[in-house]
Amino acid sequence: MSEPPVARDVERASLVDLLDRVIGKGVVLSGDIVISLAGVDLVMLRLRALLTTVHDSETGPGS
Amino acid sequence: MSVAERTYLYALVRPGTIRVEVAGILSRPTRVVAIDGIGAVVGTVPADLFVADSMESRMGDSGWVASLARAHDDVVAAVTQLATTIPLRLGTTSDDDESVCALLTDLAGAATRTFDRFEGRTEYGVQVFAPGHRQAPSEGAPEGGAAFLRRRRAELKEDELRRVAAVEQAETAYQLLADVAVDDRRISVRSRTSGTAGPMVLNGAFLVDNDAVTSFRAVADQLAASLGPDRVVITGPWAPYSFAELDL
Repeated sequence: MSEPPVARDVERASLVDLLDRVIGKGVVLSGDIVISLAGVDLVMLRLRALLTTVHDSETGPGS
Repeated sequence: MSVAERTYLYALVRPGTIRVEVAGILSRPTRVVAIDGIGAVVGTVPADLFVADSMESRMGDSGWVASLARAHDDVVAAVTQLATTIPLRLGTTSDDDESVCALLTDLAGAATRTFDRFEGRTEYGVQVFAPGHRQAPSEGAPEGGAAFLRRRRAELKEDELRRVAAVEQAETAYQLLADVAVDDRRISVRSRTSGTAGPMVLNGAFLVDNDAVTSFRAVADQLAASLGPDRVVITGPWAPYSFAELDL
């Protein structure tokens, strides 16, 4: 496997882009063995909505 | 592990023999639970960390969620340097390491197909924005109500035309980028207006062969050059969050 790129464009990766991925995406495991505790997804989505409002002005491109 | 603690899962990795040294959520150490060549990058967290009640009470604390998200991604991003990585959703926990082993056994087949899809590849994000608003009208004689309405209607129509044109440009851009990538996804566009540009018209995620990253970035840079640097934003490299469905 070839080397993945190392550097991240930190100034471009806003919190909202990060939340789009860590909360909105990523494999969800479910079933008897692994439980994403009840209600978490819903709460996280609401948090995300809240954060989007809070952080938009400060995390946009060019900021 | 006491019952007051749970095993938090950051990512699945192949090979499972990697050593991770990055601290995770709550600055706690991380480790790899491995079985048959694949592993899960995990850490121990207090059992009540992701209980809805305790999270509700922290809703107003945006810094807390941001730090959780960053800690999760710091670990995931670090392990992408060491192994092929399937990122898991923030907040995934399991009873204990034994349960994680059982999970890995159950998922081995599906995970292997997903690892094959991700090996040697990286996610990038590209966002395209509509052009920004025109200059504010020059200050002159105060205009009457009818003149104001006429001007306002014309401006709104102009904005809409600009947005439609930008959507078309963004579609072309998406295709150009998708041609260089091995897979592509549309993420929902956000309604916010960024800096000097207009509304977001495209939020794309692209899975790119590491060998093709230079070409991909060249296409993105070319788009930025032709549309205007304030209208194109490239994010990444990311772990392949936007493509992380298990191939069951």
